[in-house]
Amino acid sequence: MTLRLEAVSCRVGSRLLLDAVSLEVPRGAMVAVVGPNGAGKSTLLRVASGLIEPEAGDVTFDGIPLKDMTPERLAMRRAMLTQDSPLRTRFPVMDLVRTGLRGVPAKQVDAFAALALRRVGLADFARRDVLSLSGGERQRVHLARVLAQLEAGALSDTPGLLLLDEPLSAQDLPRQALVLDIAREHTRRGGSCLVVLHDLNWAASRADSIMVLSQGRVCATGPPHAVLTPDMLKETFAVAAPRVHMHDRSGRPFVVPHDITAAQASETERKAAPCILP
Amino acid sequence: MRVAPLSSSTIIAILCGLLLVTGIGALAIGATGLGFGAVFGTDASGDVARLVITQIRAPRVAFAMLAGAALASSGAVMQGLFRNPLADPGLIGVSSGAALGAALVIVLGLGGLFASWAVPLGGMAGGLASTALLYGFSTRDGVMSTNTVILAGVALGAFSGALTGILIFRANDTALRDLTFWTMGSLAGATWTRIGLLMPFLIVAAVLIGVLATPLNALLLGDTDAALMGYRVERSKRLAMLGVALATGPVVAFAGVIGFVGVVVPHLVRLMTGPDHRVVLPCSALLGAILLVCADTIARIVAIPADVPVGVVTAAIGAPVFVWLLARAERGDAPS
Repeated sequence: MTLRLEAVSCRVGSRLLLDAVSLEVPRGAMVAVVGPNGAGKSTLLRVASGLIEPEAGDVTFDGIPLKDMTPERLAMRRAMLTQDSPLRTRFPVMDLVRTGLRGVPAKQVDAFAALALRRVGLADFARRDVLSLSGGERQRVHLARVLAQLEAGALSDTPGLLLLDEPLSAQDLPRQALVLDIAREHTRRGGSCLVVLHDLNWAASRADSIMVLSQGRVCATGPPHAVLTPDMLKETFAVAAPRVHMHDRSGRPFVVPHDITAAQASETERKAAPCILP
Repeated sequence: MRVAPLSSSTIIAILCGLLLVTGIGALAIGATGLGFGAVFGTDASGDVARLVITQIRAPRVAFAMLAGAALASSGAVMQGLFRNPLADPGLIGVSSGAALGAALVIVLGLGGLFASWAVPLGGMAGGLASTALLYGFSTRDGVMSTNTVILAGVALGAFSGALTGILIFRANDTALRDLTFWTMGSLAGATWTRIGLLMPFLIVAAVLIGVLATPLNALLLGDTDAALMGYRVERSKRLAMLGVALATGPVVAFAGVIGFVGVVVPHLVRLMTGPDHRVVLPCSALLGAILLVCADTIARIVAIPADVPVGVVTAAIGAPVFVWLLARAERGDAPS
């Protein structure tokens, strides 16, 4: 499925959270959104998911405007992993994953849920209580629910759009790789994925394209090697003396954290020069 | 995690059995000393006994069942909707509004000759109006904020309480006594006619609440995740408030304030069944019915010939259980 945003603007009160943002996530592609805190990354995902309607601009799935789709239809075409869940109730892991499976024949529900749990490496956790799990495990239970929702939608249509809001935030190193590889597997099967990441190296290692967002505007977008440059890091993230290296085998860039120090640029200076346009 | 040892259908079957047993037991127990023989018509107790059973005890037991079921399932809906284990139907202003409505009728003597009907009708109108007002306060651009509902609900409750207080201040001795008994809750006024009037509200509420079982499961994960899974969150919240108001408003109006059933019963049910509302809602209704029948039976016989307000019994039993639940929640192993 192809997601397209055209000149999308979004405002909350007097604050412009997204300013004429355009973006395309084609079928089979994974696009990573990076940017400083408060850049509008999560807002972008909320707009792309249909949770909030933009003030201006169009959002379409395969050419169909989101606002013409019912909530049920939307749920079949896209699923989103949010940053945190307010769940405070005892909830067996398996039951939580099942809530994502609407419209699936009753006989298949358990098989779908079990498969999703296996994919996130929690096959043995089905009967555990969600509240007894670690933060990382809980995040992957929700990922399993999201994957199950996409699988249910794919029963009657092509694979949909996977939206991930900082999916690595609670994961250890091997699980960070697992989560991104699950997303890549989804795109290999014809789905598409838009993921918000803070870790530039994970973004550069897996995404087809990186979009840099700062203060609601697109500063740069393109393949990792074109976007992840010292200049971009200096301007957008206000870090001093960043160095970007190339990984020999993949030809993808990476940033060495040892070189990075927080720049002296004050908040006001950054606001004066929000970004360099490509 | 505590693994439920019984399947949900077994639990429902056991509760149905218990409800039947409690119902028959409650019919056989009472001030006039008629036993099971009179209930089943096997002894020669005659027409008076039959009248006592069918016209006094039976409507009262039936009313207790309906009221208990309505209050407890409403409590389960509120706790799911607000993701707050301590939420109860009173949170949306039904009880305080109903109290104000009833107080208006009692103190100002609006009922005249029809006082026995005017008080419940005033209570019902007060309860529903209060809920509508709270919904209006808490909704902006079609989105209802559950936090605002809780805060505004507290404020509205206090304001209704103040108005009720003014009425109490103005009340004469008779009105004061009526009002006090009403706020303590009693099922003594149960008649088949009143049950008939209650039924349409409860049937609509039961349909609404039944439809909400699956959306409430999704709402436990938060409004955002529920919306992302394709649930119509705002519509579900509206239906939930309407269902709770329709279920509890008329019950409170007829029977007064019966505390703790709405809070404690859903907790006890979740201990047995886990959080799935498709099981929690019917089980809460059944257990609420059983417990209120028991409480009302105690209320009828504990001080024969006097009739203790059932709200006193439910609070006397419910409050310690409630504190126990709170203590468990503090230790971090809340059964919610």
